[in-house]
Amino acid sequence: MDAFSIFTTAAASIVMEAAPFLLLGSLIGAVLEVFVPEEFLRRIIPRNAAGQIATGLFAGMLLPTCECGIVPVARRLMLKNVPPRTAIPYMLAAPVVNPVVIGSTLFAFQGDVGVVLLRMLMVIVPAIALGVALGDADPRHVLKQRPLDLKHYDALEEKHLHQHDHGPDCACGCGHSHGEAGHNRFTAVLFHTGAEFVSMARFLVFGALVAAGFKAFLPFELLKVFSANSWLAVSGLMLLAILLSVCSEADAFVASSFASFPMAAKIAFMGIGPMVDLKLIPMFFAVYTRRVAIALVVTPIVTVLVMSLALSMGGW
Amino acid sequence: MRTWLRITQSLLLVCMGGFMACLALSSSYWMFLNPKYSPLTLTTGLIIMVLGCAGLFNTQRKPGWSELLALAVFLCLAGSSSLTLSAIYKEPPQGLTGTEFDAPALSDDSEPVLTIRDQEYLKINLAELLAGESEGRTKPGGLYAFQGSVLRSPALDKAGYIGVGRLLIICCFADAIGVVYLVEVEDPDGYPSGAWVRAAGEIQQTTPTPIDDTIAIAGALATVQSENYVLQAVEVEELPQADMPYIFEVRNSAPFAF
Repeated sequence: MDAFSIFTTAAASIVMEAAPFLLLGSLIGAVLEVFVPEEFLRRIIPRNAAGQIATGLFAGMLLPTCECGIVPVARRLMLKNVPPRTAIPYMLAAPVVNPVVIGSTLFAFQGDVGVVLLRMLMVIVPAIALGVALGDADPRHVLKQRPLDLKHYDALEEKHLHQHDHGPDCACGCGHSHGEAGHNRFTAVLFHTGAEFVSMARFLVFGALVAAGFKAFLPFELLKVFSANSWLAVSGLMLLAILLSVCSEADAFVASSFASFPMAAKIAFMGIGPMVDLKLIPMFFAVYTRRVAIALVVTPIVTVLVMSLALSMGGW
Repeated sequence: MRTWLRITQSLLLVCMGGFMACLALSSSYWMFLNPKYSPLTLTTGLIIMVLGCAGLFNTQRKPGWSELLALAVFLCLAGSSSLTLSAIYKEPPQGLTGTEFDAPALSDDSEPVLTIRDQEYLKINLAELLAGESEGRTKPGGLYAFQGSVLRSPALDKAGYIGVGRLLIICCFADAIGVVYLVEVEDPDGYPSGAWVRAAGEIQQTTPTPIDDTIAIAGALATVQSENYVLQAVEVEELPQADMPYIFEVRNSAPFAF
């Protein structure tokens, strides 16, 4: 199998594997946008900071979403004025803290619960850190797109058309007809879903291209250089996780295959991949303000690196 | 211009969805993704086609050039990978228009053992055999039969071994892991590199391992091979390549997904 064939097949397979989850995330986002009133979300989310962060951390157990589809869902939640300290921890933790990924990690590591718990810790710590750092931040200061109160949609439509950025990644579906409410909402869901999907799909495709390129053209022998000591092993596998952009359901099996690497490095690989990879980084910069996007990339990298090195020094 | 962009985007989405739906129904699906996900891919493809058609009526949104480019790039990738992969395998599948899906190739439940000269060898795939080592199932003296591609190297030839390897696919081709077992044979030159073989024999403990380096398999992120055991071959027979040469299933107990 030559390198070009590996490249094209890997890139196409990454896109097709992620597409269902991106579609699901876009659909959930659209349903949230059109059908779920802000008051309902305000009622179910705790008022205190700790409760809000905890809700975000463990919501993935009820609403598991792959990292490919999580960004549109998190964005829609914040457009509904869900506090960023709930939505951002959800975005970071849900791809790992969910029954499917917990199960696949257990299977890949022959039932080692310690590995599963450490992996969850790797995502929970940066998720909490960002949740605390965001404090009482207004979604308007976190997102590039301003939230829109759909209750007053008809009255505000005219004003919205002028104050809203209708860039290529705008998925508001505004301008639909003032027809019968049920028909409008169904059409709005279709338009929102489609717009969100194509908007995010470009990051998926271009991220897949780069990840497949590394898979096809990276010399296999280069991995041996990184297994030389714990610092190199941890940072090397973290970099590999970001570059390869393997999905969170499969990365446990990939990590377990790196036989010559210490467990701390494998846990780092599984921890950083679902939070930061080549598909997610451009999505962050497209959806969030620059400061928040940088924090979303840097905070997980630093925390996972520090925790993994500490594990490594502890003998893992 | 806006109308043309909208029509183009709709067409590209319909093509993308159509490709995914056709692939899910074809005999080529396994080249990209684990066959258990074919219903998901089919559903997604159909929904994307619906979204593409619906997008024709979303007159208020102007598609971006980067969005159109991404969809076009995906279609180019999909098309070129379909063409190149069909040329790789000795017996290429029917392709996207084929509807035959050889599900029984995943396992051979009707014949869980291979009998050679009145001795039974348990049929197993390489990933299951390797998983069995860590679980204590695979032990010296065990009689097994597995299949895969022949891997050769000067170091292996000198030591009197061939490698037998396959790709293990959990979700998609991009996460493929290579699984290899070393097989002790009388004459490694008798087995051409890349040939599809079925090897049957007895598990033997070996320390140190016959070669220092892990064997690489094209397409694999990493390769796993036993560090403690090899197969002392009783029979290594060249066969027509399996319909689906990749491993998609790892079972904990017999009957194994040979």
